[in-house]
Amino acid sequence: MKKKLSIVMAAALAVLLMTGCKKDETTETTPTNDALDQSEMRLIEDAGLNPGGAIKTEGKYLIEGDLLLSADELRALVANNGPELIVANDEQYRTTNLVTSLPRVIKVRYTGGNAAISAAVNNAIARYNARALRVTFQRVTTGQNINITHVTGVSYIASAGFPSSGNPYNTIRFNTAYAGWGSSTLTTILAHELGHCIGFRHTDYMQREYSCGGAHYNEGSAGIGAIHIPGTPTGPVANSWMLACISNGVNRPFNTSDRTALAYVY
Amino acid sequence: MNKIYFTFCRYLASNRSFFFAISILFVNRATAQFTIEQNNLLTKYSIAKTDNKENRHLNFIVINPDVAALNKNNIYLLRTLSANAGIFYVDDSTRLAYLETNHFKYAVANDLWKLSIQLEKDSHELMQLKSDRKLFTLLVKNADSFIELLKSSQNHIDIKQVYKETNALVILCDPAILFKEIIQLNEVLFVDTYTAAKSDYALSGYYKTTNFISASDFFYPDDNGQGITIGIKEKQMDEGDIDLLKRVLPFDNTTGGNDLHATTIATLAGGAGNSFISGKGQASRCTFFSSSYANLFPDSTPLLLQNNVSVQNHSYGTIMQSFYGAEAMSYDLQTVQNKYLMHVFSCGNSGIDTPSTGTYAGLAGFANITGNFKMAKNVLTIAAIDTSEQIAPYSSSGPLYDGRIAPQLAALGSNGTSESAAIVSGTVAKLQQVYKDAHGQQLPPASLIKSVLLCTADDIGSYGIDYRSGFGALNVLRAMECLKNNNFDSSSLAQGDTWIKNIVIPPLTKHFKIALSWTDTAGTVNTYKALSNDLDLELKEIATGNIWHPWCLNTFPHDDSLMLPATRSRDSLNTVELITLDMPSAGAYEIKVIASTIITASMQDFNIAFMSDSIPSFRFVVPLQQSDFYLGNNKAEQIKIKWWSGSFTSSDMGTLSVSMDNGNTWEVLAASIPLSTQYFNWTVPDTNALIQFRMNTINGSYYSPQILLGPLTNLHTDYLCTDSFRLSWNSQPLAQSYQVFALTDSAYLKLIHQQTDTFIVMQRNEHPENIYAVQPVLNNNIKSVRSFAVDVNNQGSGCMYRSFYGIPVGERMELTIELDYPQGLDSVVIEKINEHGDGISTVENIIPNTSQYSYISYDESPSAGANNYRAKLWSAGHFVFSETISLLHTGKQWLFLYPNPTASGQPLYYVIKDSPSNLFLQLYSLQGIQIAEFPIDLSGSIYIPHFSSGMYYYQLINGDNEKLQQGKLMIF
Repeated sequence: MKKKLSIVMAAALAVLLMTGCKKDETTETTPTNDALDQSEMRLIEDAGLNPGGAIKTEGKYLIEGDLLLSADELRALVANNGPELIVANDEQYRTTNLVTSLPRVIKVRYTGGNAAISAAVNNAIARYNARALRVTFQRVTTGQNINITHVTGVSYIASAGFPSSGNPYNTIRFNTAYAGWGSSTLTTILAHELGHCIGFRHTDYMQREYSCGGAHYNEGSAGIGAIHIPGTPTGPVANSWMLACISNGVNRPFNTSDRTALAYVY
Repeated sequence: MNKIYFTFCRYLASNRSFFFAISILFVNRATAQFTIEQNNLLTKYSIAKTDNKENRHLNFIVINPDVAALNKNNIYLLRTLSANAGIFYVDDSTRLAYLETNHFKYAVANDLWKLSIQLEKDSHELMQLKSDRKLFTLLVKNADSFIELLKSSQNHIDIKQVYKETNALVILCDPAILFKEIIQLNEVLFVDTYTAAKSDYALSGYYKTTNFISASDFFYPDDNGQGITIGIKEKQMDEGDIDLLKRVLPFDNTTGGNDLHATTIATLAGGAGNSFISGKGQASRCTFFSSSYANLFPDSTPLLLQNNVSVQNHSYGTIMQSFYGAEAMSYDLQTVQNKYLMHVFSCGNSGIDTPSTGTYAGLAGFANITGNFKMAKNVLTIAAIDTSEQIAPYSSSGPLYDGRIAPQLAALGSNGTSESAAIVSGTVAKLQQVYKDAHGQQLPPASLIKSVLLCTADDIGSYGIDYRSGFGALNVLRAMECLKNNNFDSSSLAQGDTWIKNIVIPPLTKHFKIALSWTDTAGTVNTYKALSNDLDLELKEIATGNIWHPWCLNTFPHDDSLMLPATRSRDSLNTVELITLDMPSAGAYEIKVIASTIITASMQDFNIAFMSDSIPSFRFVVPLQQSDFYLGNNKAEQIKIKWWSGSFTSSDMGTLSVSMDNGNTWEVLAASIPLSTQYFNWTVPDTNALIQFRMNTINGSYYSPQILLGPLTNLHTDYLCTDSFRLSWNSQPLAQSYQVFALTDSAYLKLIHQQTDTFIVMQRNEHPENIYAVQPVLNNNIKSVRSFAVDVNNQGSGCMYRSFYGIPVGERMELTIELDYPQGLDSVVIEKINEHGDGISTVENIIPNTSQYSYISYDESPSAGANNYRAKLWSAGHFVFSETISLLHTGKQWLFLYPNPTASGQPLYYVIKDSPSNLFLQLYSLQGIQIAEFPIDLSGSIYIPHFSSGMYYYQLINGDNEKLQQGKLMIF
């Protein structure tokens, strides 16, 4: 049956991506009409993001694999392009707008009905709440600040955006094709997207091949406006939860540098 | 005008209609002895060819001009090009006779002198833009007549901004029109590329022990900027921020929105400290005036006066602009018009960049200050230091375009120089308040505050002044005390006069410092050297006759020269001069200020301030209070215990001890530490105690105040019902009582209750406010940190519960209830409500135990479709209901479709058991013909195309074509 075959093919493709290169969270290429022109590339770069591999999808731009931002959101970022927090050579926590009115509880709703994802949402929330930050997350059924929804037929695992006006980004889209991934990987993915929602960018946005493999994209920002957080190691620390790419089986609980960055910002 | 030329110079030279040229006149050509520099200037700025058209072009380059003599003969200086060349304006060609008869070397000027070096550099690129209109900054002779003149132009030129005080404008036009039309107008004196402002970043993380901010707060808590208005020029700050609330003057910033950067900057300068200690700025009682940086010129002088702005913060930059542009000149003019107004600029975050224009072009890491307004003479530019008190690598470096020292002062800016500027602006407000209160509400001249700040700064980086940190790191405490001790003076001088003040330097002084500062008259735009009036500072020891001159830096454009240590010599570049003496002999000295060059008609006012660190003899300065252990929001694992060793010599030793039991026992931290070290790194123990430090010295023992060392107090919302709410907090064993604060109708948290309990239940009708904080009160006025202020609505609390949610797990429904205050509940009954609300069954009756906050129940037999649940929360014989949540389940089936009946052309939703894989939904007509097939996954919806209305069968199959479920679907 044709449809079944296509499903099988899609699964095979996903497997291929997982094993061939660790590039799952980045894009599988989409048709040429999604290609960005120079001014769009420039806008993404000006926003402090990596234009390499960015595509147009769902009326927005999918950048660095999991940031689904509209042109307006990008322009707002250009105006508020935040500094980097450097806790180690390879751990640059660039921040944008932050969630304000702290201390504050951010309510998270999961609208899907899948027990595995639901458990991962709870686990991701628990990872943050264990840090005793001034931002804590809380699972709710109503009155949410962030809605976690299902999405299908897209090229990313999950997507999110950055805070605006002191409020967290309000939507995380999770691609149901990856619902079968291991629970700690799902937890890491959701913690990662929650990280975007409260203002963290990819730690390896300067050299995305660090977690994604493939070509070396470097914004060449040279660390201007970088904040080196005092008292943190100077050597490279692997496995930040805000690395751009992930593959099944990988778990990235907050490492020492992540904890430092979280405590520094919140 | 379609011709595009390769370079602007060629463009000028070949466009004949551009000039109203007469022949170039070189008088005494035979005897002319030009330097190479003068020759180059003549080549660059004079008309290349003769053209005998009518002469209306009356600007001349004059070599070795006598400015005063020319001025007397109605030949006016427009721009100085170098020490011995300038551009002059002659209003009548007959006046040229004066130049001839007095053997001046001169030539008709082209219009290149009107360009900033930035525009000169950009002109090539600009000429290639065919129709892209650009913004340009102009300085003209008279803004009104220039605007009038533009009205007659055939071309499309928009005036975007006008700054009448200096006749400066921003216009929008085609670059070709700028070069063809605008630049040749006699009205025009200066043209520059317009560059929009950009904020220098800011973020959280505020280490108040740096710059002696917390010490100043501890010793002088009432010096808090009361009565001072700080201008914040950038985007709009959030006036609703609880640290800024009710203190922002009404004024349309025009940028709209609430900018995080502006809010952070305002908070650092003068935050109220309502949110937490980190939200308390330097001048916590100041008022704010928020204006936009869309206008790079100064805000109008009357506007700032009307709003009582006496210090304005500028935490933004543009690009590196190494010239004295229209903005720089305008700021200088404004500070002359209002000598009480202090402008504070961040120096920029381009510390590692290389300038591409100006004298210092190509020198990496030098002269990368961002924005020509920072080239002004009468402002302060601020560098950033990090928490280890080192200059941050990103902090921009001097010198300014003409070799002047900038940045002048360094302050904490772990996130950029923006913050550094904000901290200095707040400090200036405090100093202004201190002075005002002691001088009949008269504001101090800005140059006085400048001299106080510079002479009290702590030398950092290389010895003495340098181009990265200027005069050193801000020392708020010393600056306050310099002013409080009246260690300053002022006078005014005419050309050639000298002012003398006699002082005595006390014995055992380690450093004696004296700073001179004056508000100089504005220079001519684009001048090669900004300084107009030159004063000189000298210090003379009476007994020996020794004379010391101010510190000067080498200005030669080479890395090695710029990095040379400062030497003592006469300064004829800067409007600030500093003399320091290390270990001076005690005795009588003479401070001398000499008016070397006063070109303006009136006398030149000046201020001096001085500092000697021999008094007091010993003092602990960090830590002094509990908040000093909190670097930002987190407790420090290590802290620098700091003291000032006053009159002790570098060989004197001390023993540093700490007591944690009211002085009964003392633990030695450092047995023999040179007092001149002035700090000791201490690993902060994890304890809750009152501690005190002691230094035993040859002159006796010195004690720090008693300090609370212990965890922060955290306020928790236990429940939030419509009629009442409950707050609780962790106990502080050393507290006598707790003060509960609320944000009521004031700009500051107000004390509403004092009590010994660690909780409070408040009735909503008495306390409609939403923001609360609590502060433990200890004996003897020992300060504990007040808790974070908490908005009870943002804490996720509900009425007796926190949240209620569920998820299908297999054939069961898993229901989770989270509680905030299990101690207050007798039971929690999880109930299931049937569809019509009339049948209710109990899922579980939970008896909470006091330390468990989350409870999971299971509905063993949820029905297919929506299941509605609620919790009935019992407390002291009363109950409240939670929200009712509606959760979908497949029941005992694989799949549940909804809505059924459904509309064609609409999505049809479904829930599917567990994680589906390889499942398909097939639709059949009543006749048994398959009409559609849809993959079933976690997406939860399929799209029903436009089928005809009626009844259909559906069946769910797996990859092996096994039927898992079937049923009917009604489509209408």
